Amino acid sequence: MSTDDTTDAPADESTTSTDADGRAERSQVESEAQETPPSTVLQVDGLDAGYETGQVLFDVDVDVREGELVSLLGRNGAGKSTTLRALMGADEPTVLDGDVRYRGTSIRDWQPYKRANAGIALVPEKRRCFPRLSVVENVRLAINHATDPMALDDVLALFPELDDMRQKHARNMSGGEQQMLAIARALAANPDLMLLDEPFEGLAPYIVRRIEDIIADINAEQGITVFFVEQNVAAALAIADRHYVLDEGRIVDTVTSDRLREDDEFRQTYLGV
Amino acid sequence: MTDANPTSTDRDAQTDTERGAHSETTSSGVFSRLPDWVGRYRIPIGLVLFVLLLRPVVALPFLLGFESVATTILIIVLFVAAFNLLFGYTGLLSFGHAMFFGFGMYGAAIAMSGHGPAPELGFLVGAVVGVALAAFVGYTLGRLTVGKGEIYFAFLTLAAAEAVYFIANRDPFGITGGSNGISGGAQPGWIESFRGELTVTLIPWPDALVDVFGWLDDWYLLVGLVFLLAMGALWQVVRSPFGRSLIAIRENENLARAMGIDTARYKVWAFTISGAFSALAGALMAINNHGASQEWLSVFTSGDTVLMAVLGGVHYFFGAVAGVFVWEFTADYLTDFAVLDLGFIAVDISRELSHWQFLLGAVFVVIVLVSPNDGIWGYVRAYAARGWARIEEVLR
Repeated sequence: MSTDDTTDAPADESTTSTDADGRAERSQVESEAQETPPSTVLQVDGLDAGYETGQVLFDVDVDVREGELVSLLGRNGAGKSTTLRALMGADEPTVLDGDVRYRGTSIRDWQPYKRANAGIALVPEKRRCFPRLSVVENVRLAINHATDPMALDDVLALFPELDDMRQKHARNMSGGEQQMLAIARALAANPDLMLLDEPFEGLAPYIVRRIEDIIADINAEQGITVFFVEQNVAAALAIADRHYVLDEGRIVDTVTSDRLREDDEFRQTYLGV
Repeated sequence: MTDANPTSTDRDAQTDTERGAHSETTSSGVFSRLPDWVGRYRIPIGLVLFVLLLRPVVALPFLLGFESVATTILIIVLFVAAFNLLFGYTGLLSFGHAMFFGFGMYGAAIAMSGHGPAPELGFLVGAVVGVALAAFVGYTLGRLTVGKGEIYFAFLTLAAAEAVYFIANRDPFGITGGSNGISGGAQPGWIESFRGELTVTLIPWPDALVDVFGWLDDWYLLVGLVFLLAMGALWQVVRSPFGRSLIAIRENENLARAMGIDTARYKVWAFTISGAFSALAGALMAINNHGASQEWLSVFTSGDTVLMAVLGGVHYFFGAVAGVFVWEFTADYLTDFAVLDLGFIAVDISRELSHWQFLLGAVFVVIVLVSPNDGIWGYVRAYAARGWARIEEVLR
């Protein structure tokens, strides 16, 4: 018998009600999805957002369709992480104008937990995990709060590296292991859309390749739509279908991998590589 | 949630017992050589041992030499553990927890002083009303304050507690006794019987047990039983998915929200549960002290609670036990200490030691310097883990 099965008495109320809310949010999203083209999972329309110090995003449009693996590329300070934070509804930045639609439903005013319950999972920047919790506990947190989660063993089966260190605390893990844990935790919620914030940042080349494989598998085999922001152009080229290019808070173009690979001037101008 | 692999579940369970953190050292340390259930239930086992051993230990002639403080320690441990659910596990610092303790204390004391139903059950009704009021105030105040940020939360709880202190002091309804508090009152006969030997004569305890554990003072055992039930419930809370979510909120609230946790609601419930258990401790103290006094409602009680929790180690379930024991024991030991007898010379230092708060402050500073995040319990655990590793090396 699972430990959770025996010990979650006070949590039942909370998690159950969260699940109920999550189901409501998912069904709200699904019913409204009938009214818009079914292929669009994430739609950002004319998003303006910023901090107290000033506006960062200007009229950002993004359109991610079902099953796509799309990247948002840009140099440091272009507004990539700000875009992702705005998509997840973080306290900052403040959304000034425009709309964020998930499967046709406007989620602009939704709390982050409602967005998560509706099927959006986030892998935050800098591989953020809960440092004093073990691998299992990190993943279980996601399972406990998801509407339709994966089973713990099914998640860990996809990450043999983590399966071998179930009781290891996140703070004692390497950068690559923490990134895998952050992805495993997001995957455990069995999301429809996974957002990743610079998943390759600061990782050794062979770990970058492993993370590339994991993200590509999540997209191809689990059927999860993926939208990630990144400045590692090579890694993005290796896995993404399409790329939005952000410069000084504005989307300058959306390009295919072939165009990005071949157009040196474009790459040099907006991405510096 | 289903878990298909029983082996992995057992392994998981072993580290689920102390929710604060640091379970790795324990599961791989001394507990790995003991049966699984010992590691899994080490917290309740430790609590039972604590209740059984506390009284005979403090009553040892070269320690305190008297045992009444043992009951007080149990009650305050429960209070600090309830506070720590909010502070250590959720990361919310309340500077007004004396208010919740006071609800339970005054609830029971008012009922005992003749304002409630018949005294046989009156204090129970008073205690239940006190706990319910604490839960209600915790929930309502939580709804109003948890979203305001940590500093504002601390000061808003302080302000609320001061308001409650002021109301009890002014006594507008003639029930709280103003600055005199409530003393005496009718204790039901069956509670009084627990202070005597009635239960002992009803149960044929082996003489050896009576001698070793001092079963004769049964009020302690009744408090011990309530203490174990309440601490067991708190332990279940912190090891449950709810408790794990509280830790997630403490560690990274933004990430917790992005994972689907309605963090405001969880904080409100943590505050509510913490307040209710604090009130239960207050009700026990009212019976223990035959009444209620204003000092328990004061800001100093709230401050002491924070200090005891930090002293013991806020990230550990046993931190409350360690913090309160050291605090209360040191206070009583130093207060009673009179003559330093070195054999060849005897010096009366009672006057110097009457300023025990100063010495306790020094102990606090040392602990914070030596073990800044983990307190006494974290330090003891780390030290024990290192010692055990060395023993294992020698054994190999």
